[in-house]
Amino acid sequence: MLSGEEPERITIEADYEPLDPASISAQVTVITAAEIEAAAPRSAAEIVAPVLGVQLQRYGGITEPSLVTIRGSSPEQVLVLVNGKKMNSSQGGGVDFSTINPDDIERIEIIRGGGSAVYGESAFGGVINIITKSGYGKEFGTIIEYEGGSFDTHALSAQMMGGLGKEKAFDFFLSFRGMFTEGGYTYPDEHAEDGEEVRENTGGLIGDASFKTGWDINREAGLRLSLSGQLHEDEKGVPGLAEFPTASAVMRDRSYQGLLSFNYLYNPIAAVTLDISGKWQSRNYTDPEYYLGAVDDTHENTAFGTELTLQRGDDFSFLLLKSTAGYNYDFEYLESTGLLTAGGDAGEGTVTRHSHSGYARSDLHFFPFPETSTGRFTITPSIRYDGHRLSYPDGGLTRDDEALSWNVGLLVPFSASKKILIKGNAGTSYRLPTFDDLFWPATAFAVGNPDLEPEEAFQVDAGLIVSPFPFLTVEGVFFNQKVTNLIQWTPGPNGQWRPGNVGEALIRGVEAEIKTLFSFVPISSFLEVKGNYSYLIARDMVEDSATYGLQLPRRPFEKANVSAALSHLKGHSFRVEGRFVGFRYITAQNTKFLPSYFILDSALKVSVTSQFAVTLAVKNLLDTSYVDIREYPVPGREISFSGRLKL
Amino acid sequence: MKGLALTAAAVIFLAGCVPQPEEPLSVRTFTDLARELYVINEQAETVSVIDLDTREMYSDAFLSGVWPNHIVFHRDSIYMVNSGDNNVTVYDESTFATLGEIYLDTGSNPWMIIHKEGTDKGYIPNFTAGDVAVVDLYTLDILERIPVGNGPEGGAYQNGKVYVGNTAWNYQEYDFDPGTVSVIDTVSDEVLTTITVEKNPQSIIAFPDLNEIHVVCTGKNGGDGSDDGRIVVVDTNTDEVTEILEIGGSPVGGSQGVDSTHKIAYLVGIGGLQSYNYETKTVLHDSADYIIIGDDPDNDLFSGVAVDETEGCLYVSHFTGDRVLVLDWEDYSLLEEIEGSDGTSSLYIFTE
Repeated sequence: MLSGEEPERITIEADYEPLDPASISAQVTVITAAEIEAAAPRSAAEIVAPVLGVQLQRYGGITEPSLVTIRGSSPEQVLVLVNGKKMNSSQGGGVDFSTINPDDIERIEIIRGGGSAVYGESAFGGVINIITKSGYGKEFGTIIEYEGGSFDTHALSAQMMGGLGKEKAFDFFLSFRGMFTEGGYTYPDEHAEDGEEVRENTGGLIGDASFKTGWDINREAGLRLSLSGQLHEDEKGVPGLAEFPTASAVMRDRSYQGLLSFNYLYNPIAAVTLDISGKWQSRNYTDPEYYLGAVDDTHENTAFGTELTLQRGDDFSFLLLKSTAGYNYDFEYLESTGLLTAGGDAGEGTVTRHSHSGYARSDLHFFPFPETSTGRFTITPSIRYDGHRLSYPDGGLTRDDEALSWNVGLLVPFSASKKILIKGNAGTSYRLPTFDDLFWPATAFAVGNPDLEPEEAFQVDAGLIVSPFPFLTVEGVFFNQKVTNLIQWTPGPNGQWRPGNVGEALIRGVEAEIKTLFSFVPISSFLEVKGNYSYLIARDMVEDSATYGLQLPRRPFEKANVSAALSHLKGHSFRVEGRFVGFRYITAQNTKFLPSYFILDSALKVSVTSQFAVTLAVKNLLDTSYVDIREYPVPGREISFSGRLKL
Repeated sequence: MKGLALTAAAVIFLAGCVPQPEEPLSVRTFTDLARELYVINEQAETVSVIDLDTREMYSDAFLSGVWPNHIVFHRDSIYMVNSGDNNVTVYDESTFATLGEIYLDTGSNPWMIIHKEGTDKGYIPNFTAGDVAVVDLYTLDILERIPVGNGPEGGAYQNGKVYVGNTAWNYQEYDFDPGTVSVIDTVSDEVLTTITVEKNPQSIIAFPDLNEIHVVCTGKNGGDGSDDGRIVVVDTNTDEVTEILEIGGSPVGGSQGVDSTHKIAYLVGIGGLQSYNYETKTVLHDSADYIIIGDDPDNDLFSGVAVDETEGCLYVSHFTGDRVLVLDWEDYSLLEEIEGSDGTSSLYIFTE
């Protein structure tokens, strides 16, 4: 990792600068690799589910989609980054966290609240930045792991990492994973003879590979070149709605993405970064026995991007100024067998989108009082311009969208040791309509809307973090977001669904979190206990509608998590985690709801030797029957056992 | 520790403020009215009731199932077809208490009940199953399933026969194949013949006095700007097409939209209300001349119409506006707008 530092004053990280919740104004939760390992997750979805403000929407078993929302957003309104590069597909649908290999993750940063001025389009409800593992600064090593569990699930993974060459100037991380599940879990069904039905067509096969390499071309001069990539393929059954099962439907997803990054720390407090990224995603959906005739649709999304970032730090004695400016260009290309045509029918077609972005932001650290007593205040203004040109020749459409986003963050510590921190943010965010929203082919059941406008929002939040003792941190946050041009799909009288900019929504709430850490020196152990609670009001503000003032569907008023992790320095750990999700309305009129539920997960890890560990994990220990999405039952209790060998 | 205590207190306070969901509606909260208009609220998944004498709206009077689509009144009961739940739920008309269910099995997608007059027999076209379930409305048993065409939706009973429109969506072509109507003999419960009609026959209106059924062919649903609605007239003696009326738009009709005084049938769809004289086969208001145009003709959706012959007015549900409009049946002037629930759609008049 490149870094230059003027002691205790200002730091520039050219490659990647980890977010420190105590040093930035954004409301951030950070999950480290150690925490991930202790939780024994089978997918990235299980890692982020307990995070404050995050709501998971599971569509079924381990291979079925798991989407994430933040602060009452939709899944599409959450921007997901891998190593700073966008994962969201322009086609839409939100990022499926079941496809992200947890073994590759070094760190996850979850930023609650919109932030298009910093992160660009889609950073509407929040941002999830996934940093993958690297071999930088690590000894050469290999990890092999096998996991087997309920529903005939098997996973085999391997990682290799380390540094090579003189002074380990070349570092690498390689990872492979293959997973298979037979599926076929049961769920309650009042019409079944014994009250239970088997969820058919829930098997799947997943293959992942990823790498991350870095080369310190000239460590003294701060020159570094890095290359990373993720490859993912899966083939899984699509069970469909419980009342309309699709026993022969299969989805095949493939995605390949790469990032070439050149970093130059040309003096201790200035840096240049040039990123070139590429992504190709393909989705094929087939159902030879679909009720109304065979279906075979393929969509291919290709994207290229380049980003130039300049960073500079200035020390004016009374003021530290850290400035970042950059330019970003993205090209996205969709090729599909099913798009809305100019004549209003459906057919093959291509859509392209060129996006240019320019941005600037500063961290202004200043000292209104002696630094030793109050620390430094930080104000972080950000501004970003995005221009998008979309072309759809077959649809006879060219459209331009522009957005000027801004954000101001404030961080005020009331002591040098940051025992009391006040944070606040205000800014705007936006999200473009997806290609599905715009160009869904005209069928008997749905049709896109090329006239949709981007969703826009203005949000503010304010938080207080108190750390009265080294082992205790308490946090409370209030947030408020006003959304306009909200895009929603609604059915018409002929049974045909279509999207529209239906109007406004007001989303507000409070978030609270407490973290404690106790160490038991005599037995070389420590206990970490965390709890969080969020209260969310998400009001439909569409005037003259029957649903004005009512809670938006699928948004729980309450969500709470509690976890306790007992760890031993030799590598043993025991973790229990409880997740409560309050009732969620499923109709906009608030006439029907899904009941609240409580899930308890546990994981016991025993380090048999310094090189070999075994883990027993039980998900949904209480065998709670619940659904996140109506008509998509999820499994009950799931047990898995894994062995992990470090070489 | 003060911060900890404050946070805990705040959390407890907030938890106490959280709204709690109301129990599902299951009882009638207002008196049984002499003349009632039942309004299906497709998105709220409820049924509202309007007192036809006072025009007072009892919003969300009782819950329906998922994707409520059609109501039939029989033996003091309400039979509600829930397309998404693959069932028909039965309610007591006077109390709204749930009496029972006809479950048609997964993947059925029931569209409506075609009641054979004077009997307990009902015929339920199942859109995705491609069949018609014959049910006993008294015992709630499924008697038989009769395979018909692709995507059966609306239908009607006349002269001992049930007519069911097969919409025939073709996924490969992203278009409808030519629509057909299956003719079922209600004694043998066998398909007698199949009549080729126009695109997307979503609804059928029976005119016993004329010995005709009128097949309302919606066309390509209007979402793409199509304007190809047609009325196909079928002679029920010969089961042959005798006439086709070009009415345009994306019309949907039903028996509730028939004004027998003026011999007019009203159809709903995107943009406004259409009508034709069902006796003379004259189109009165086609897609170029909608009776009412909403604020946004391209997106305003009108989804149900019922004719109140006692008061001489039309009730029209404005799906996108969540309200029911009352029009004078002579000059179509707006008499009243009744605010409703989410997704007001089909309308059914019930009289004691």
